[in-house]
Amino acid sequence: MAYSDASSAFERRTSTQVAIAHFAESPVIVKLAVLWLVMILFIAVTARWIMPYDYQETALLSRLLPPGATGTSGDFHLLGTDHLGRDLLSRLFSSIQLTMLVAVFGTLFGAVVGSCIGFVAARFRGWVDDVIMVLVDFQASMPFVIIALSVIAVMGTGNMLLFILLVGFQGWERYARISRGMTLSAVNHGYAAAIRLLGAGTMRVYLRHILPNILAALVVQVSINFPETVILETSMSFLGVGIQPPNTSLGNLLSYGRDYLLNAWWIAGVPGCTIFFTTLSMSIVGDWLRDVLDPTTNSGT
Amino acid sequence: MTGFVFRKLLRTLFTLFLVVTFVFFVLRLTGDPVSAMMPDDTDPAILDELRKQWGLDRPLGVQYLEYWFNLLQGDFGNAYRDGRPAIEIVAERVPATLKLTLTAFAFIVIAGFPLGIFAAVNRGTAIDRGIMTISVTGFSLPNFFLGILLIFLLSVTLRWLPAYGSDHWYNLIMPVITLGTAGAAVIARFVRSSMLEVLNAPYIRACRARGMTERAIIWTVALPNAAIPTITIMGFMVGTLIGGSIVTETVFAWPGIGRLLIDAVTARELAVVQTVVMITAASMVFANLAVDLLYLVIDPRRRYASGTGE
Amino acid sequence: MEGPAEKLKADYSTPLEISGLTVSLKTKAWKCAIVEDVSLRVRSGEILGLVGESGSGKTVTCLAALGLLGPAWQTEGEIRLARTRITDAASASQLVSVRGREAAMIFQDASASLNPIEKVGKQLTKTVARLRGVSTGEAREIALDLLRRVEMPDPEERFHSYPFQLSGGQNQRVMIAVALAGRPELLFADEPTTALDVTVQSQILDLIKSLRDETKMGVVFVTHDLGVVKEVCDSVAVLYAGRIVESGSVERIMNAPRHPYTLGLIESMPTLSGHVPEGIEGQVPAPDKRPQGCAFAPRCDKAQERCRTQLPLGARSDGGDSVACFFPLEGNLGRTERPELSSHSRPADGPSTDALLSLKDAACDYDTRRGKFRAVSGITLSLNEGDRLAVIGESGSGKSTIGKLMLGIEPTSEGTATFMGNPVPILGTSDHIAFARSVQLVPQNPFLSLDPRATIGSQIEEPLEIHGIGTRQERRARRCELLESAGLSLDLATRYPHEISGGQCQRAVIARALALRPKVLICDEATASLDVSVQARIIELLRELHRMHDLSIVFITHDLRLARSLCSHVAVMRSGQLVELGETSPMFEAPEHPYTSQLLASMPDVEVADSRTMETMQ
Repeated sequence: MAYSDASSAFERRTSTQVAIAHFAESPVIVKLAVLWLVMILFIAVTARWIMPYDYQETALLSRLLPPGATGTSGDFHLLGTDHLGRDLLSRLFSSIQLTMLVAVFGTLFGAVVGSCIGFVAARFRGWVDDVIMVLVDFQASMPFVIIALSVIAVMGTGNMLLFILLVGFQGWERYARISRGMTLSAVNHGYAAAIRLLGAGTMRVYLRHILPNILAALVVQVSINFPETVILETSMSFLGVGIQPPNTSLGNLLSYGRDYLLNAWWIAGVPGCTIFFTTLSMSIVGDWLRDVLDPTTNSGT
Repeated sequence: MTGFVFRKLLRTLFTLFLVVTFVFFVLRLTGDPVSAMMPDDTDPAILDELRKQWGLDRPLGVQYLEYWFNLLQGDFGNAYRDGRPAIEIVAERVPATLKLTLTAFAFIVIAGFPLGIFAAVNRGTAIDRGIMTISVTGFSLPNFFLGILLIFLLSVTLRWLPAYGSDHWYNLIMPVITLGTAGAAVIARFVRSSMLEVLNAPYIRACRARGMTERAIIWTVALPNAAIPTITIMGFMVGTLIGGSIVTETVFAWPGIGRLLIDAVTARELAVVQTVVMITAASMVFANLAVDLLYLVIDPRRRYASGTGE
Repeated sequence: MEGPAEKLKADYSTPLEISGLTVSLKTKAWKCAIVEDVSLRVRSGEILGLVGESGSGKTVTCLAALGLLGPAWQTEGEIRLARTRITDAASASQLVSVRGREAAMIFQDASASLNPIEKVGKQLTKTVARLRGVSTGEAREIALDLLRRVEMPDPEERFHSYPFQLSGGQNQRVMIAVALAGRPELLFADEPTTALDVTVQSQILDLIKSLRDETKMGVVFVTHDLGVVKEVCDSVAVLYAGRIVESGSVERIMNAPRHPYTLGLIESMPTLSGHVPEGIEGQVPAPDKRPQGCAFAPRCDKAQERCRTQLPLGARSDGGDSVACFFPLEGNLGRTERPELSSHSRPADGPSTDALLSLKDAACDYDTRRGKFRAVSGITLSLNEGDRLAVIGESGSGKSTIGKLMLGIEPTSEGTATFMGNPVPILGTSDHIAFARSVQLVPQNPFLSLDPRATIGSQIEEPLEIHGIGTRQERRARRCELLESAGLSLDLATRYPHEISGGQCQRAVIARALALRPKVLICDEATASLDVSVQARIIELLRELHRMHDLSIVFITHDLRLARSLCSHVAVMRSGQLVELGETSPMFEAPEHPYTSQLLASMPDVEVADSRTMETMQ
């Protein structure tokens, strides 16, 4: 009802400048979280080149070395070695790479597919909408890991592409729900209805007006979904039904380490902390993004 | 109201139907169960024989109907290894999982609600920030890592609790914390935001305007209103707990259906897998039904909007 | 009692005294005064109208008096509520014992101000029991009695209803009953009738007046509607940008306003006798951008150098007349009647050869979960070229549905809707695209009908783009033309909707609608979300566009005064039926249908009583 007079002293800024300004004003914890994520991404991209040793190379004489130890062959192991004498740092880098690969591509896949499904439901309404909504409800009422496990049970382990798609599919119903709901409310009430009355075609309304407006909400959902995807992937790898040797994910690493808690806690501790800090950072950044992107807190007076 | 309940029941049955159909198609269409179960170098003649024996050579529709027919008689198939009925194998694991999940559910409610309320009431203070930090940490902590941390701390280092076992009450402590922490964190967060939303509602200001004390407003007006939407989240918790019990039971060698499922997936015991999936789905679907009915009981707006009214 | 709330000897004659009240919104980094140096006095049995546009600080003043502002607010100055003096308002939370007992408050949105999950009778009973210290059984009796006193229909039955089962007016009655529970000496009424239909509004206003007579309580009545002020108030304080600019008795202020803003506000009000509202140029400054001198100076045509640098002495509302202006106006309000817009005289329902848009026996059904709901039926009316047709009615009367039928948003279930002899095409069909060039909508909320992520300029150009009109340069040129004709400066083209004011948004929407040079403009409550001074300017714009562009207008509204000031014909809707149709002036002078008379009688008006006093004076 009350419109503030924002016009008189308004500074024009580009969206990049706004984004940078927002980030500069963010709390320290958000900056730390972003720093951690940047580091993880850097490792994920460059793992192949920066890992000191081959992550699969075993050295039975240098088993279970503590962090900072030097093996019998004179190799220095910053994070020690595992039960087969493999360099833990190299294995960690390789695991980060694979975990991030699954998480990033899986999340993107789920986000795109889920949002499109929701969009389609809102666009066509009628029976299409009904069928999609029944599926969405069904998905929402089943723990996704159970569905993933039953597919794995049939298809077997070891198919990496299938695994990425499966893990990524997690949370599709939430994207579908958000894009459907927001599209419908835009079509029915506000600006979209006005533009339709001007004679605009459906595609124009959806692509030029609705999509840019719901993008922020979808981005926030991605930031919520991403840590869940990481946890799902690492859980399944931990349980032995995800990434299979010789490939290794953070979940696999942790799973090996659990048998050596008594005398080599770092084997479990290092990958565990890496997963934890990554999901924590993502949650912190996600919360912050939600505050920044949420139009109700952003433009409110 | 009967109309609403009837509609909800219909929907529940329909979802169950979807689950069975889903399981059937996943099992029959995404792969050949026979070649999936037998070693790769098995003689093709034997595979054919097995297919015939299991009726896999008949048209899909017939198989589907037969599948239903068997299910309705309580026949979920037999385990491949020892030939015991799958339903029997699963049933003997159910009590352990129930014990674990129900205790964890209680833990979630007992820990999550007060934390959420406390944070909302002290909004913006150090207490609020502290609780929210714990909450973010709680649901960012993968439960397998939390479980291992607890074992490392309480069993390996301090030697207070045995790492494994399920016979005593104290065996429950670590699994319940492992399973419940994320849920409690989610509930705390949700209760907090729900409380804050309610505390900003016009009727709270109106209560203040007529001289109610802040304490009375929080407990008699804000809390009942804020509690209503948390029912939905509690419904979701059932799913989270069942999903989480798979990891938790594996970490603590808890003899429940979660660990059974993992063993069955690794061993490709499809009959056991499908039984577990269906039992899980059924409990989820009934939890959702319970949520819907609970809404009717406690929220007058739903009660009257659902087609009964005056 | 010690501390901030100090009990005084009972002073029943003035239950509220505020002096030098300043209320600021405060964070660590900045502090911004919302209300500045406000002094008020309310006698028992007096209804003081606190008038102002949105952002003037009228609600904040009331909330501050009851200590209901949150921790981010800081109040300075002196407040005395009935027997309690609040010296340190920062610890106003200790006022709990005063609230409800000595002063109570009712709010604009009554339905949202009651606990949604508790029966109204129970809420009322609890409040009575707490405030009067009686047993639940007794409280129940008193509660029922209160419901009867607020003239609740079927009080025994409503006692067991939830708020969502009651209408807005009934909920407001419950709120008033709750406010009476503690027998307060003072009642703050914050826009209590703004969300209600006019007929319900006039009942609630009567109720407040009769309760005042009965209980002798003082009332602070917050409103933006001068018509309502005239109806219920004894005295008025006009707020502008957080300060009282003028105060005095209702008669004096309405007949001889002395502050230019008050005059502007009165001139902005359309009246039932056909006064054409004149708005005030510019906008209310945001609290953090208030000018150094008189806050109204930038909008005032009588402002001089002194006004811009010095602050005039604040007006006090303490019974006498007071004005905060260096150059107060003298003399009575002189109305210059403006020429009526030309219109061919014709019966609006008759068969007409040059009908642009017409509905014949039209009905419209909506599908709901419980089957079909007939929103309107048997509607026959037509719009000729150059007509300005008002469709008036209360909420649920089906007036918006008529707009939807005319725009092809909804198909007719029975009868026909025709445009220039052809059926109105339905939205989404290919015929509708061509039709859209001729008939356009100006919706209620301009802010929502603009894409938040596109610039104003690109949105004004968009219809041309959609219909492939002109080259890029031509479109750009047309855009400037449109901005100008809608009274917007050209540099607004690069702004986003949230960066401009509500009035400017509505102008942009009108410019966009005009881009295709439509023949008909359908305005659905197009000014309902705007402040009166801005509304008046939009009405002015519509009149001008009508004159310049040969435009026919359908103006859907709940406000009969607006219909009178803008439209040549009026259609009165009630529960989906058309009850009366005809030319504006004859109908307003001698309505045929009893419902039309009832609407006219319920409409608060700044002028009706005015002309009456003038008569008695002569």
